[in-house]
Amino acid sequence: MKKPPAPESFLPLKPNWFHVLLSLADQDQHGYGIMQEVLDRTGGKVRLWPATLYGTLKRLIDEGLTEESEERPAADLDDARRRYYRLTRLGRRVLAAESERLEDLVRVIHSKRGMAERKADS
Amino acid sequence: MSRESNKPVAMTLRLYRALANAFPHEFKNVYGDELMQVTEDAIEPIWRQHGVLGLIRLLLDIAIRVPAEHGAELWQDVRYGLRMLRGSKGFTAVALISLGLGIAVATSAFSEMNAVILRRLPGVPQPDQLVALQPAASYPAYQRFRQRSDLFSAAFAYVAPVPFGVWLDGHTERIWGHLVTSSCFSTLGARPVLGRASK
Repeated sequence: MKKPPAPESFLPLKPNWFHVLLSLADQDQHGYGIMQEVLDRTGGKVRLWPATLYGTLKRLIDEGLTEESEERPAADLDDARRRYYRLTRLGRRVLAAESERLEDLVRVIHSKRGMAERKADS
Repeated sequence: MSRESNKPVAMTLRLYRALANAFPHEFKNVYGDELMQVTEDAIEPIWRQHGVLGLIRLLLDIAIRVPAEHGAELWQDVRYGLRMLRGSKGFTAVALISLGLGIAVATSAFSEMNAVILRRLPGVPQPDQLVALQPAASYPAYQRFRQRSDLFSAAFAYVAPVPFGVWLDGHTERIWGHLVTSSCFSTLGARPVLGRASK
């Protein structure tokens, strides 16, 4: 059996990939749901346009980071025409690795900013 | 306002559908319907929020993605082909050798044809009046052509390629040339750069 690639081999993630993976972190979503979630989460700053969104979803599925979900929401909430997507185990690990990388980056930014402010005060 | 009564939205959707049809077959099969459905859901909010610029951005998005998907599919096919070739080394070797030989033969044939037939002959005043017999004719046949002055103003025969040993600066070099009849230069109307032509 082929060994799955290391999560680090995907880093740094493309912004679109990261947004889609983050949208699927806590629940399965359909395409329109992902688009809306990203739009709401970023205060309207990031919009995944439809063709870009499906191009990204295709790549993520090809790379084994997401897959089509067989679970459907309750019948009254379900739209039979829509397909739902979820993270794979590898996708979850890649998301965690990228989040950690970004957190480290933010820590460095904070520390640099603190040093710059202290220098300006002295 | 309904989508049908909103002309820019309806027109954008029509254009979008046409562009979506240009996606590669596999992409269209898997995501085509879903893509159109999401676009139909999203187009009204985009129109209300961004106006015409939003619709242009929507079309631009798919106009960029279509060639990108074709490129990605082509790259996937190339990678698959390379993987297959790597998997069967014997077949790859035979294919590469055949391909190499084929290209070499075709290139040589073209070079020869280019030199003999396609390129204008240097030093010949009226190359367009020259005709050559294909396939090669016998010497008696050549003699008959030479005698038919009503057909040709002049004729010559040649055998090629013929190896010659040329003595140059104290050593002999092998060169390839033509054995020609004495009427060669006068028929071609060419003059040798050095020495005298046979008559």
